[in-house]
Formats: sequence, structure tokens, C-alpha cells
Amino acid sequence: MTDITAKEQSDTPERRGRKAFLLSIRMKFVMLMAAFGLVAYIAISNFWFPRVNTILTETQNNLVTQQLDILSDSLLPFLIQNQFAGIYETLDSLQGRHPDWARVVLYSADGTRLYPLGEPPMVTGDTILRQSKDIEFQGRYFGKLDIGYDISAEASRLAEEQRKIQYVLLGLFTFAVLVILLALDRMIGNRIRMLVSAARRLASGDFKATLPEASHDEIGWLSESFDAMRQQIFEKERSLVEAQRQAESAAVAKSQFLATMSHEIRTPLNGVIPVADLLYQSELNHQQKTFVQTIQTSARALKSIIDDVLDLSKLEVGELKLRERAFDMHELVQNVQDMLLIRAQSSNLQLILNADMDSRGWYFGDDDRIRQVLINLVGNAIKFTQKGSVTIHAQNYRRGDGLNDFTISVTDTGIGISKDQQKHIFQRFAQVDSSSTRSVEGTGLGLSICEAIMDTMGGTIGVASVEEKGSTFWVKFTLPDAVPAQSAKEKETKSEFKAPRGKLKILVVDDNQINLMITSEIIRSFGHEAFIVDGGAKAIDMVQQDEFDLVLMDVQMPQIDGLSTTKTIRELNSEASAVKIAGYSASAFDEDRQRCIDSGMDSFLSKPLTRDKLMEVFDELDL
Amino acid sequence: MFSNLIRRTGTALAALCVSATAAAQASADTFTVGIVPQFEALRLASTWLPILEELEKRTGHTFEMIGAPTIPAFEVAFQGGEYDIAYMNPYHGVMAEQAQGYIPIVRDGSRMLYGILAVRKDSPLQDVKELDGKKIAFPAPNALGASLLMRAELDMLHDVQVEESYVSTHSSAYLNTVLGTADAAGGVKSTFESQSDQIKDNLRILYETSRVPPHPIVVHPRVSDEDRMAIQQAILDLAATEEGHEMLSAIPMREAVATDREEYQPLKAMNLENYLIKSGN
Repeated sequence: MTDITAKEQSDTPERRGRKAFLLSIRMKFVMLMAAFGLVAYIAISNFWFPRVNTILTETQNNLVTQQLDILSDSLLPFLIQNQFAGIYETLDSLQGRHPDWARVVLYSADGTRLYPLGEPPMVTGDTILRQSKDIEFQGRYFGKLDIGYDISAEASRLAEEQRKIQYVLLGLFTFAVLVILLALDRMIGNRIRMLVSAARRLASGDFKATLPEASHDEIGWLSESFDAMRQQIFEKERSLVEAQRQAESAAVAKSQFLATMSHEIRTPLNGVIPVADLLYQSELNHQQKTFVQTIQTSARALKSIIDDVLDLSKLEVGELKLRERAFDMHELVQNVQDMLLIRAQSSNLQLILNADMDSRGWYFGDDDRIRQVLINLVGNAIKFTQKGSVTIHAQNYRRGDGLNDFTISVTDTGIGISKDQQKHIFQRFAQVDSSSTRSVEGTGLGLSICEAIMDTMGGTIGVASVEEKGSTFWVKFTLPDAVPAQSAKEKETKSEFKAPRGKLKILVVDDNQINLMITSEIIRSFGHEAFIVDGGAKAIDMVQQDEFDLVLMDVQMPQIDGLSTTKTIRELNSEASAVKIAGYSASAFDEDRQRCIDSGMDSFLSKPLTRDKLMEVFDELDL
Repeated sequence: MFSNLIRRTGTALAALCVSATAAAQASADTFTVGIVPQFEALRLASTWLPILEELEKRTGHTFEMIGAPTIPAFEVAFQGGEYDIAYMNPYHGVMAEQAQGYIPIVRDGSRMLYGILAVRKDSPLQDVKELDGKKIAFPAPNALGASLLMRAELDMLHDVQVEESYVSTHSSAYLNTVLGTADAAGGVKSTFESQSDQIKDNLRILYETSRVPPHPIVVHPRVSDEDRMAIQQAILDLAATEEGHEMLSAIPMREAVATDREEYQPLKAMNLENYLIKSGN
């Protein structure tokens, strides 16, 4: 919901679109009215006005005809008696008083021009009405009047009137358009804008925006529908929020359950694995050794699942952190091959390493995580391949700016992955074969963990596969160069299971009796001396009474926990305060480690405790 | 006006009685005055009444103006000796003398009356004799200068016979000539001059009649010589004043001079009555 809101608000083109829509109603109306006005204008000026002009001309023509009749009657007596002065007086006076009689010519019966004396004016043009009238009396012809009546004055007066009519019409029309626009804006525009505003506020989660007043028209109905829709959205959102809340609390419960489960499973495993290890090293007949091996394999498989689940919980809370240090990439890849060679051989598969890298390649990065990814990919390849081979191909490219691009791929000749499956192969709990009778085991978390690791490292992971032919999984990442010297020494000591210089005195602090027993057995298997106490207070007493080479301190304990105990020891006013302390806990997150270091501990181990882990601590603390 | 009429009738009867008894004596103090109705009555009254008033002052007599509705009525009146004093055109003066023995006493000395004959400027006519048989437009048959004098001279002096066309006014006569419906037009100098340039420029004066003195004021012989002389002198005296000159100019008589029968003898000798055309009444 909030996503949608954000999108709505930032989506300015859409808002512009809405504005444009509103504008376009106005524009459409104005254009429609303009078109109507134009048609009316054309009709008026092309049909109506010309028609009025024609009528005027006809009317004037009739009027002139009538006047001509009267004039010829009045001229007749003068004409009969040759009283030309009367004619001149009449016609001069007529033309003097009425200049629109532009041309008046009188001819006698024999065609002689009687009036005017001079050449009559030649008048032409659209505004001149020409008429002629024979002057007759009792059938006798006395002459002819030929006139040109100028209607330009009337025509221009009419044109002026027409112009005024046009202006008035234009004014009225514009006024009407404006009034209608205003009314439209008031009746439609404002209400639509109100609706738009309400819709926007609805988009941002506000269900209370005012809607246009109810009315029995389209916008009123639209408002009603909008209100109903808004009500529905409100109800649905409320139920969705409720559902989401429930889902979230379920997810929290699930995570908590997973964390608790992994912790609860780890504790007994803590007991099983070291004891099995110890048991295996004791004097056993062949069958017993086989049984113990089965216990070891099963326990380690179970632990691997628990590790995956723990990694997953870390992914979910986004707490996967890299522990970077200098390491030899070539050796790392070689190790992976070594580790999985036996498994491959036992599946009748070849495991080939094809490394095309600098032999003296030391880089700075989290070798444990890279190893985890490679083991996962190679392990998967072995798991899903019936026959043939698994090839690790590793190569690097030295950029020259101190950075190196790595591409490591794992190619198998296995069952392959269909295009569809490739799409969600990196999703959690996804397996190629998810049928109930699947032939391979696993949580299905491996690849999603690999992807998360690559993401954290700034690398990528991918797959190319052909069904029934095989698959190639690859990772690409970039690491900086590192100085090899010290790391080489560290690695060297680590790689050899070298015994400590002498018999060590180690104090184990744990509230769990089984853990106390197992841990002290492991310590003794190295030939060291183990002392045990079941609480923090006792530990503080012990370190003051005796001198120990190392204290293994459980972090979670009732009353005084491992962290407080360590702080107290560090604050003692004696040599005991300098004793080396290593914390250990079933909760193996990075911040657990950091909290231990902060409290004054020298090192940290995650449960379950194994000989290897203990060896690492001895090495680290130089014991 | 009614009292005037009674008085006029009374006076007329008295005059008849007097003339019947051959008594040539004018009645003592009151004289009747007749004016040719060439203008409308109102204009005549406004012109003449102030003059008569002045004459009354100057002579001690009383003057009463008697109207005539038309020229023929006026002719009948003066031929019947109805007026003691009258103002008329020269030919009427001749007629009045012949009928009643009226004596001219004053006339306008600033001009002489004569007729003209106008032809088109481009007309081939060069001599009055060539007009024989031609059509001439006249304003009216008995117009003195334009018609009577002209016709009399053409006939008597030049033995020219013309076709007459009466077109009512001087302007029409000139226009008929300009437009070619007549070969020439009879008129007088003053009307010719008052035509528009367009007409004047198209006309040429071919002939002028002999000059006659213009309108006279005449006195009936029944008025005593003494009174007649007194009236004549009073008019001349009046004309000598600036005010009087202005009054008389309205008649029109710009320069009043004494006249007598002698001056009108040439006109009388023309026997214009032979050329007079009697109208219906």
C-alpha cells in the first residue's frame, strides 16, 4: 500500500495527464464553441449579409422606380411645352438635394440629350442602380429618363450596421462562452478537481477527503460511486493490514522457532560429535568402528543442516558479515578438491581441478565464505551427477590496479536443470527434484546462501545448463592483492596438526554437565590437563587459587554469565587477571564473537566444540 | 382690406361720375394707386406702402394702394381709369395713354429697356435676316422686350417671319436654343446675364432691339396739373434722399428721373398692339 502511494505521488506524468484531461475538457469546449462561432460567422457573412444587401438593392430599385415614375410625370408638362427651365430647375434641385441621384440624363423624343447641358457623369460600380424610363403620354413618346442611383451611402450604412451586428454578436458570443466556461468550471471543473484531490489523498492513504456535494447528475453519481469504492478500499486495506500483521508475527515466531530449534539441536550434537570422535579413536573392532563412523556421518550431516538453517537466519536478518584476511586462492581451491575428492570417488565420479591462476596468488577476502560457496557448488554437482565428472575451473584476471577478477565454475555431467527451474534455483528451499520420492537429500538452502554470500562480496552467481547433459554453476568476484608473508606462516602452522609445546592447564567453565564432561575429554585427548567448574563465581575463585594456561568460558550461564565473569577476572588485582580466556557459545553470530572480545576474552569458539576448533584456538593464542 | 375695397369702389364710382360729367378734377385729397402685379402682393405692399407714406408726408395728400390679382385684371383696371396713379410697364403706359390719357411723370433713368436675340454660339446664323422661317423661343407672347418689341422689329424692320414657340420663361427660351429645339431665343439683357455660365457660354447675342424707356409712374389726367407736378416733385425729392433712393430701388427704380409722353412716343409708334396676342380672358 505504501509502495503504491509513493509511486502515485512521484508519478508526475500521470498527474500531468490528469491535469491535461481537465484542461482538455475546457479546450474541447472552447474549440467546439469556436468552431460553432466560425460556422455562424461564415453563415452570417456569406449568406445572411449578402441576402440583406440583395434585399436592400431590390428595395432601393423599387423605390427608385417609383420616384422615377413621379419624376417623369412631373417632367412631362415641361417636356410637352419645351419649358426646359422647369426641367432644369426640377432636376438640378433634385440632384442638389439628393446627391445619391448620381446621374440623371433626359433625352428628347428624337434622342437629343436635354439634360444636363454638360457631359453627364459616367457612374459605375456595384453601388449604382441604373434605370431608364420612357416618358409617354397618351401613347405618345416624349423622351427618356436615364438615371444612375448611387446606393453607396445606404450600402456603407448597412455595412456599418452589419459590422456593429458582428461586433455585438462576437461580444455576446464571447460573453456567453465565458459565462458557460465559468459555469462549467463551477458545476464540473471544481467538483472534478475535488474528486481528483480526493483520489490523490486516497492514494496517499487519506480516506477523509471532502467529496463534492451530493447531486442528481453524473458527477454526483461519480462521487457516490467513488465514496462507495473508497469505503471498500478502506475495509480491504484494514483487513490486509491485519493479515500482514498476522503474517509478520508468524514469521517472527518462525524465526524464533528456528533459532531455538537450532540451539536446542546443537546442544545435544555438541555431545554426540566429540564423543563419537573420541570413541572412534579408542580401541574398537571393525564393526564397532563402522557403527561409530555412521554416527559421525549422521551427526555431521545433521550439523550441516543446522549450520545452513543458522546461515539462513542470518540472511533473513541481514547479518551476514565477511571476515576478511589474506589467503592463497590456489590453495583454497586445492583444499576444496581435496576435501570432496573422497566423496566424488565414492560416487564413482572424477573430480578434476583445472586451475588457471597465478601460482603465488594471495588475496584479501573472506576465504571461509568462498570455500563455503565452492564446497556447496561442488557438493551439489557430486550430489546431482550419476556418472562422469565434476570439473572445477578457476581463473583470475589481474587488472593492474591491485584488483583481481575471479571466475570459478563447477561443471558436471549430471541431470541438468530445465529453463523453468533455472529461474528459481537460487530461491530458498528450491531443489531441482522436488518430488516426494526425490533421490537427493538437502535443505535446498545451499544456493540461496551462495547467492547471498556473493551479493555481500559484490560478486555474481549464475548457471548454464542443458537437461540430461549437465550444468555449469559459476561465480564471479573481485578481490584485492594481499601480502603473503605472515599469512603463509599462519597457514602453515594451522595446516599441520602440531602438538602444543607442553602440557597445558585448562579451566572449563560451563553450567551444563555434559558439556563439561565432553570438553574435558577433548582437552585430555590432546594430553592436556582439564579442570572444571559449573559457574562464573567458582571460576573467579579458581583462577585466583591456581594458575591456568587457558580458560574456556561458556557465554550463556545462569547467575553470572561468561561475559561478566571475564570482566570480573580482568579487573582482579593480581596476575590472574591476565589469564587467557576463550569464550564459546551455541550462538555463533558475529556480534556474539564481538561481545566476547569486548568483554576481555582473547578468542571465541562456536559450539559444538571439536578438536579442530580447539586446535585453532591453541594456534591463535600461541599455546 | 374690406374698407379699402368699399373705398375703392366708391372712388371708382365717383371717378366714373366725374368722367361722365367731363369734369377733369381729381378728388381733393385722396389718390388711388395701382401697381402692375409682376410680383406677389405682399412684396408689392412692403415695397410701395413706405413710399406712399413718404409721399403723403411730402404732399399732404392721401394715397391708397389698390391691388390687382392678375396682369389682365390690372390692364382692365387701368384701361377703365380706375387708378389716379399707377406703375406699369412701358407698353402698358402706351395703352393707358391711349385709353385714358395717363401721363408718365417719373421713370428709372439708370437703364433702357430692349430685347435681345440669342443663338447658339456655334450657330451658322450671322445676320438677323437669316432668321426668316426659323423657330424662335419666347418666354411669353406679350413680354415687352423679349417678345413684343422683338417680334415687332423683326417684322417691321427686317421683314423676317419666324415660328414662335412660347416656353413660359426666359431661361426656357435660352435652354431651347442651347439644346437645339429652337434656333434662337428672345430675351432681355438682364435675364441673359443671370443665366449660368454653361448657358451663356453656349449662346451668342445676334441682335438687340431699339431701346425704350423702362417702367413709368403715370398719373390720370383727372388729377390736377398742380397735384401731378407736386407728386412728381415729391418722388424726385424722395429719390434724392438716401433713404428714398433705397426705397425706390426696391421697385426697381434706381435712378428716378422725370419723364413725359414724348419719351414714350417711339414705343407708341411701333404699334405694338398689332403684335399683342390676346389670351383667353
